[in-house]
Amino acid sequence: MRNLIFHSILLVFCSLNAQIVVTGKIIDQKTAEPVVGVVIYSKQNNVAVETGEDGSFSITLEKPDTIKTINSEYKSFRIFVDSSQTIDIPIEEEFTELAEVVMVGEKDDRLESTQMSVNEYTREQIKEIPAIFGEPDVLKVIQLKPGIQINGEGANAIVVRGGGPDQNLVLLDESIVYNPTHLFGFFSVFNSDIVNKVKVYKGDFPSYYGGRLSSVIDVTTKSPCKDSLTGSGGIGLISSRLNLDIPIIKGKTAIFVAARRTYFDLFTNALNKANEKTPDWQYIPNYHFQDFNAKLEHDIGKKDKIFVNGFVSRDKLALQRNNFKFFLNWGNSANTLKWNHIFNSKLLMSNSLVYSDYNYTAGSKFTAFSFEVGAKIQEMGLKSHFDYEHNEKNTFNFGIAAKKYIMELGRLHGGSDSVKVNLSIPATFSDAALYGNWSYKPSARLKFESGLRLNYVNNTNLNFLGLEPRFTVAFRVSEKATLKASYAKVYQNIHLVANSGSTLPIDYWYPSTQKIRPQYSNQVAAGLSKELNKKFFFSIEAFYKKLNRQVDFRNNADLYFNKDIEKDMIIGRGWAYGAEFYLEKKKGKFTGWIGYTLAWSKRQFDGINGGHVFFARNDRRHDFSFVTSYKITKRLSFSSSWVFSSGAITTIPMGKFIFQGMPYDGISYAPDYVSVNNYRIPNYHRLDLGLIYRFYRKWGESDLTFSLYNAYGRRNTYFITFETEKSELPVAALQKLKAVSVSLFSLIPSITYNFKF
Amino acid sequence: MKQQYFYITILALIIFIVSCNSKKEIDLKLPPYKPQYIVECYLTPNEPFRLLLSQSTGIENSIPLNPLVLADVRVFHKNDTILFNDLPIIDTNYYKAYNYVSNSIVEYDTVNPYFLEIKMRNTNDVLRAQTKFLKLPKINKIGMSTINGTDISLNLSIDDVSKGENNYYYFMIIDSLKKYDFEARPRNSALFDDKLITDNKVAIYTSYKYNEGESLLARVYNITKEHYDFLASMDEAQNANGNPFGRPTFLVSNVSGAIGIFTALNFDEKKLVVSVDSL
Repeated sequence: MRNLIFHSILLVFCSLNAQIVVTGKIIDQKTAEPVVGVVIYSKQNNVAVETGEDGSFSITLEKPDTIKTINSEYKSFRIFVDSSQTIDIPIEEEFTELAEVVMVGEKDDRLESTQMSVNEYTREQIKEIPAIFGEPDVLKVIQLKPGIQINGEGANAIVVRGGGPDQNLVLLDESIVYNPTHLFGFFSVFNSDIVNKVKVYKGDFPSYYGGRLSSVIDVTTKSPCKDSLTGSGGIGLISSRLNLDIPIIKGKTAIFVAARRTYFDLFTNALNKANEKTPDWQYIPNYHFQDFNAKLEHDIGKKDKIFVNGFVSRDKLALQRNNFKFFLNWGNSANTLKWNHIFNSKLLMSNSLVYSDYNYTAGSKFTAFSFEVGAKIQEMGLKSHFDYEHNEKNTFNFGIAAKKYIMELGRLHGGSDSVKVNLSIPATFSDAALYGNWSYKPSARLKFESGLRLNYVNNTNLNFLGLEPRFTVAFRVSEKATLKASYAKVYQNIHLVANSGSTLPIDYWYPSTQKIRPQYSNQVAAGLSKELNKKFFFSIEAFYKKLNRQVDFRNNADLYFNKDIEKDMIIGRGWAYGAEFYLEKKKGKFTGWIGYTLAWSKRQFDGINGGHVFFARNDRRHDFSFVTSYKITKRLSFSSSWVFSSGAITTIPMGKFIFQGMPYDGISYAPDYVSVNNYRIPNYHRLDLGLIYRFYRKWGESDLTFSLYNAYGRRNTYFITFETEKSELPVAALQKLKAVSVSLFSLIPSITYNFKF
Repeated sequence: MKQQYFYITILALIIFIVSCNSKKEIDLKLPPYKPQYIVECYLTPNEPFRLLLSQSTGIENSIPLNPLVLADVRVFHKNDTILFNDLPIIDTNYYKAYNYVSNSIVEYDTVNPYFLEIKMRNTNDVLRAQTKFLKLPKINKIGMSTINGTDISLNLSIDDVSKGENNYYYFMIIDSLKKYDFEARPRNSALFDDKLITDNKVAIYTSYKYNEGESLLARVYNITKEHYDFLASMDEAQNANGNPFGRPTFLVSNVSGAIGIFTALNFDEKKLVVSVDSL
């Protein structure tokens, strides 16, 4: 895989002895957009390469031949080459007779590559899978493959191989996105129109990634079209979005801008106004989110390219009634300035400057008195990365990265005209990493990849150095099967302070200190990838992950605006292990996959459950997904996904008692929880259906997407509560309680109109 | 308090999103629950020693009206031993029930601690706790403000009882003319520490929920850290029920071998009549 990435971003300009080097770009004939994942194949030379993120490729031939493009979505294109050259190849979209496209000699990259424990998704896959409210969602889609668990109704908290939701490195064009969700996790912040590709590493992390224990979710945005003004967008039930690609200097410089906004608040405002005088009207909070993306790309010459990416997201929630006002605002930004330089056909360099932040502010106001609380994190970083291909057997990449973090662990402003309080808990720290990767292919069957990352953390009274070895071996047991094994150690230098297992906007990040040292994990995995025939691919992976220095909080901890929060932190351990099975039908009119994960996730803290090992909240024994896509005609396609997962672990009270309280206090019942994570809620399952009808117009394309979320209306448990039964007893607290399962969404139909020109 | 607004808002939003919000009874099939001893004993100056000793029960069971927990209860203070009788009574002033009482009267003593010992007759389990009286708090000032002439907010200023130490308070505002009953709760009550202290004064603001002519009682307790932790954990534990964003919390008891609180109460209170004229 590393080779392919290398080739895909590399433009080779010099000939290698008598070899014929053909470089160029594959572009969509209609949209002029680069096409990812097109195989360029030479039968005579028995060599194939694949286009990368920007559609570029480089193929080296020993003798002249007709090369041809192969991709199930596009018609094949053939061209004879007898000399080194750079060519752009336009290919035409293929809608009919997909099953008949013959993939002679095409090799599945998953067999070729040493990389394991990785899932990859394209924009098209993301858009095809039916989504809640018809809003295509990157984070929902990635939950459909093995190892990434389905995390309950609506939730976007990503749990990978039993790790915590805070242990995922979410990158948007190399910048970290600290809170990748809108609306308390119901939607992701990634606008599907501008996503080019998403790669999720569940283990076997290349050494150029670091900083989180459980996964890397690497979202890359598309390249703006440099030749003509193009655009895309959609109008949905709850939101609309628009993306424009604007060439600035034809063929050299272009920018895309994209924006998305919900209009939930317009309806709720109108409803609230209409019911202003209705007695007992339950005021509906106003809520909306918006996000904005832009990317400027400029080709300085054949060897240099500059990108500037910007991303901003904002969520606003407000409740206003009479003299009382409550608000909660939160948002991210993630920005990258990147320069790619090609020294020669063997060496290329990439330098990036990143800035990310996350900030929330909550407050209320009673006219005379007001208060505001909040927290923030800002991160500035520099990274220099080099790829070097020494020869066919040895490739290297290496680099250095440094980051500075400025944090506000708590902010509290409040008071009235007479009394004012302005308090803040600031923190700063920095970290750096030096890394290198060596990929070695001693024979056609055997490949090694080894990496080393040196993690350094600097904070008051803390100078921490940690070594992160990574190692992978891949053995091609046959033309169609590869055995792989990997080991990776990772450090995580910041820790999430979260009130509950759910991810909330008021969670904040805490730095590593002398007492709270970086968390780390060791993960081993082994698996088999097998191409069953030209259409089916199968893989199985087993993994074992040990999580060390895990952070949790003492009972009754005061998490917010607590200068001494370290006193409330407790350090423990975790384990996650299991096996993942994956069967994919990758070609033809009917495509899809079946994924199944059998896994365990456990934790142990001296201060929790008497020091005994207990199941983590994200422990799911079984996790199953069945995803299909069927292209009925050129215009019509159908998709579905069915998911099943063991119930989530939660904490419910096992006992109760009467609590009288002090004079004037009312009598109530008090719950006795006995232990944490003591109950598994009922199993979760859901079927989603989608239907896309496409229109081809003179100005471009459009489609109507119908989706049915939770098609058979399964009432999945969102949480369990206890309600009092009717009784003649004088005190409600004495009455018998009954357990009640509360579910969120039943069947939700939706329709979205999408367009592209 | 701020977290409560947050939760209320989120829940209101979720409830709206799921206009078809559906609930169904479920059978939990829970493992057997081991009952815990429950103790509540508030020493109040110049009032008799009283204690409620009960046991918890499984979450889905009924709570027995007459908890029958036989024990020998005593309190040690200085060189005195105060013996309790197992005599169920109801304090009709505040509608509180006790099943162990003594004729002795509680002395306000900020120097010598009180020790509680409860020996179970059937099991020989022994529960122990200790507490002592703290300094009296002082309500410095009560102010009122209004924005429309009808809805009135109160603001109280309390002198922090000691500089440089962590102090904990519990305040409540009660309708002083309203007859008290089992279910009644103070119109406003809050638990707080002196984190937000300014000029040695703690400021408390209420929402605009009072009307002209209302007769109120504002009461502030200076409570121990143990009592604060118990009440804070009680709030968290109760709020976590039915709240997917809550953090289930175990009650922080100061009675060894039991869940409960043994504490000494002192307070300052002021009566007031809400009046726009006084603004």
